Amino acid sequence: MRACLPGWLTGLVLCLVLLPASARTVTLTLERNGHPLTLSADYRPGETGRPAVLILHGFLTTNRFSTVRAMSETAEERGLTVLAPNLSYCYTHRRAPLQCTSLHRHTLQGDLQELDHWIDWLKKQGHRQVILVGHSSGSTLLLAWTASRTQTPVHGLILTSLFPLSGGRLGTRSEEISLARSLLKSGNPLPKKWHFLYCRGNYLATPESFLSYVEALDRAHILQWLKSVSQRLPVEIIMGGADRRYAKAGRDLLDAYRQQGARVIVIEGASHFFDGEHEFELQDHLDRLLNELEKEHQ
Amino acid sequence: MSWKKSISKFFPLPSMGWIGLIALINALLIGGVIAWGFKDTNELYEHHRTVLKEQAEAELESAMSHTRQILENNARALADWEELQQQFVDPSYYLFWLKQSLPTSLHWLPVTREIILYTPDGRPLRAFANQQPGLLPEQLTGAQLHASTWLRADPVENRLTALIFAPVRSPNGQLLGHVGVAYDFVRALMLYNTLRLIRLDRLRIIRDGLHPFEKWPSLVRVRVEADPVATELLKLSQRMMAILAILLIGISLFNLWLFNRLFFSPMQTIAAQFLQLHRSKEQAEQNALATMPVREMRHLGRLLSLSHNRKLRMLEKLRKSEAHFRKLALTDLTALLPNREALKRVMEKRKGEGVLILMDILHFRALNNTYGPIRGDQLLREIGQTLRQLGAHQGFHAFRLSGDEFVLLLDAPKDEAELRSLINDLSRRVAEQVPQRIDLPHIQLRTVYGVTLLDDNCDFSCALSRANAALGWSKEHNLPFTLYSSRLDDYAILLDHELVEHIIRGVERGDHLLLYRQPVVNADGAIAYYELLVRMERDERILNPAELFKVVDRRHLHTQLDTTVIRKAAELLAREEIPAGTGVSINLNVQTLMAGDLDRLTRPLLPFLGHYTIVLEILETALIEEFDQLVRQLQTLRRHGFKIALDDFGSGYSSLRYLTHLPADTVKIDRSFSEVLKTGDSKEFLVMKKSLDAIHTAGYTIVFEGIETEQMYCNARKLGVEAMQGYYFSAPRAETPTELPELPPCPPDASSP
Repeated sequence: MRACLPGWLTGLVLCLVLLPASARTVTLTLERNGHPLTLSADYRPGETGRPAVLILHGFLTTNRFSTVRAMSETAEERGLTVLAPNLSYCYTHRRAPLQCTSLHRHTLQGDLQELDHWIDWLKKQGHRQVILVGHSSGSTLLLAWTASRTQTPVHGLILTSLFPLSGGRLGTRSEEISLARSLLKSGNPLPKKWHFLYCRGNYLATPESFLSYVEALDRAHILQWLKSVSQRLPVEIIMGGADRRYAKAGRDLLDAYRQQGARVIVIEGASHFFDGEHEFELQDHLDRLLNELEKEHQ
Repeated sequence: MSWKKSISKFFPLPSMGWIGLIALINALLIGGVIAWGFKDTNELYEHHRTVLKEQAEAELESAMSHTRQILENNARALADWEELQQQFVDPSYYLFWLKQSLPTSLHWLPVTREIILYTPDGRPLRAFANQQPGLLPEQLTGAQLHASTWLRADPVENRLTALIFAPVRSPNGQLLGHVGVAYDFVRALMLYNTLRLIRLDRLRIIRDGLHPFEKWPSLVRVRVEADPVATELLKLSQRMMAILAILLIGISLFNLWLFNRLFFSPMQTIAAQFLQLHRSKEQAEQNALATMPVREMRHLGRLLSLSHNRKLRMLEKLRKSEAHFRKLALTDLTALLPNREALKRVMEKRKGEGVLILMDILHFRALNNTYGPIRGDQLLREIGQTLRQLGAHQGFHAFRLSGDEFVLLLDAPKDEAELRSLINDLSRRVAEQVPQRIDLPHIQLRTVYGVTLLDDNCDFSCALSRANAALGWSKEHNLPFTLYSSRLDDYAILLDHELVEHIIRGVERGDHLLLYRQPVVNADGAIAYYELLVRMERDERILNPAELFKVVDRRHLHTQLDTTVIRKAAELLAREEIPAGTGVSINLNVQTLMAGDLDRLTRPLLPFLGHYTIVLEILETALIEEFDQLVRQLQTLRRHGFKIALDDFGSGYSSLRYLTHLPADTVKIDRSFSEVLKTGDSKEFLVMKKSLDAIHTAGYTIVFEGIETEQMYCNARKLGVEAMQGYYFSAPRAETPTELPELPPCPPDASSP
């Protein structure tokens, strides 16, 4: 692979030149809470007859995030159709990442519905087989979506930096969960600031939104979803060996993943975002896994 | 010219005036330089400030534009922000978003004060319940509906708020509404600009109200921050100049103080001491000089003191010398008596009656010549002592007047008997005591006296002239003394002081002294030479020769007269007023022959001896005095080439014995024998003829004087004389007579063989 590095670099440069010309933004307009909600995604059509790759970004970011872009380029280079949607997080035509302090009204269910729309859209575009590629919370959402959906065109998942989003060791506070449940039960929808992931007490979200994530995206649910999905589809997990989230989630998580039937690849030294030279390794692994999944499909 | 007088009143300045003037000039110069320096630096600083102000204005304008750009970009970014646009889509959480989410977003700048969303028609997106009016308007105007920037000025709170309105459009270009953002513009200026020349914390808002952004210059006033380097340099330079001025003035004052200390005060001290010394007749002290710091000044002061002390010593010495010389000047050192000058001073001071006695020693000159001047001086000294001794008893003061003359001055009048007794006593004492004292007991010392009474109308000259007249009378009449009276007016010449002085000057200098010429004619009628006869002119008349010679005799001016005559005779010959082939004869006084330096006396005539006959005539009376010495003198003259003539032969005491030894060439027969010539055959004529024959035999030529008539001429020829002289031929004239009357042929001598 390393011997082919010059060729890869040349190809990358060509892609960078050609990508803007071939990529286009596609939108979908939904109606949520009585208001129109426009979804957007980068769409790069590939060779017909080959699987489409849906790549989902991490928490509060967009499809412009560097890791997502690197993975999109890898898939595109393989001649695969790539769809990289932006979760709207209840903001129409969202193009920019959100902050912890942005008003969060989105819910897990809403996210999964948006994925439903994009899968349907791909189907409409003629793609019968879809490979799901996610990064971070995007991996979690794709896993949750796949677990909760049957009869999908998905025939493989490549999940990078897959971690649970809630849990006591991950900073989720049980009293906030209780408060949110209480507020939700009392019918008070006003947003509050919560501890969630890296948002330390400033995650401004409605109780419904907050609860939808913290209740569903814990370790148990993930392992459960992983187990069920692995039984149906090949699930490849790429993890950074130096991801600091191991400190809270525990490195035993990798074994747990393997135990659930997923194949785990650890890129030693790589962070949560596979930045630096580890991006190339990520792309190498991704390319290899896409090739394998495509061959399995054939 | 009045200004010159006005200025001259102040010059020369005193020392303190100069010090003040120099200090004033120094102060003016220093002040001028410092003022010029201050002015120049201030102008430079003001120019710098003007440039700085222009730069500051440009800097402010740039900062305003830059800040506006940043804020407008922020407003546009807000308008494009999905979260904001979502509020137009679903405004259910608008207020919540506005209050809690938006201020924490990256779009909320530190200078953002307020954000309001407006509907497309300019109304607030959602009404604010119980909300106080904010910075942004509740309703957008037509202008504000378009993208625009405004400034809200509040001079009370000194606040400047930028209001920026931007349209909010969906990605498909649909106008969703407007966003209005209020910014703290002053803070934005400070935050987004690095200002070098402006202090924004001192920005002042000077107008209120809402204005388009372009009007900002009329809303704010900023203070241009002075260039600290330039300000510091200005302060430093002015401080330096002030220090320099103080330093220069200090140095100047110090120099003046030093000048005063080193020079002015010492000079004052020296001047004061010099003045004190000038007034003092005591030796100078040098204590006051001890404090002078300049060595040269101290030295100068000491020199002044030493000079003063030396001057005092010299003055003392001079006083002593003056007293000594005064004493010498008023004392006759031979007779040891007060002299003529002393007498004159006494006479000038005295008042009232008195007696002046003029004493003369008869034949003193002969005694002096016979026994020598040493004995002569002894004689005079002893006479002086005698007079002093007698004067102490008789109450008179004795003076030596000149030569052999003494004066006795009596303050009290005396009658003739008393005077006679006094004079007799004096004559006797002199005659008896003095010869003994000088070891010449055999000589007879006789004195004669002229006496005059003194009064206030007769001064020194008058009294002396009268005494002289009386003395002359005594001598002439062989009297022991004569008391002056008016009957002695015959001696007026001697009483006429001015005439005497005129004659003396003429004799000594030659003024008005004339040489009349009378020819001496040979027997054949040719002029042999001219006798030069002394005459004196006064007031265009010729004085009586007797008067002239009386003064000469009385004043003993013989040698001076002869010297002057010889000098004028030489001038006569030099001017060739004497015909060639003739000559001149000059009368010499015996006093000149005996006492004078003949070589020096006759030196003027020596150049003419080869060309003219020069005859020196000597009176016969001279033969009685120092005959041997006279012979030696005449021999010397003859060796030089002079002819010697024995004048007035036969009138005195001469004898043939003298004649045979006398080295003379010619004998001039005295005119007293001319009576003999009036008859040619008398007994006297025959005796004369025999006498002349004897003289001829002795080798002398004979000149007969007093020829006045033709008969006398012829008879003189009968006597065989070689030459004749007299009025028959020519009277003495001022011009040289060259023409003689035609001489007649004389009848043959009957007595001749």
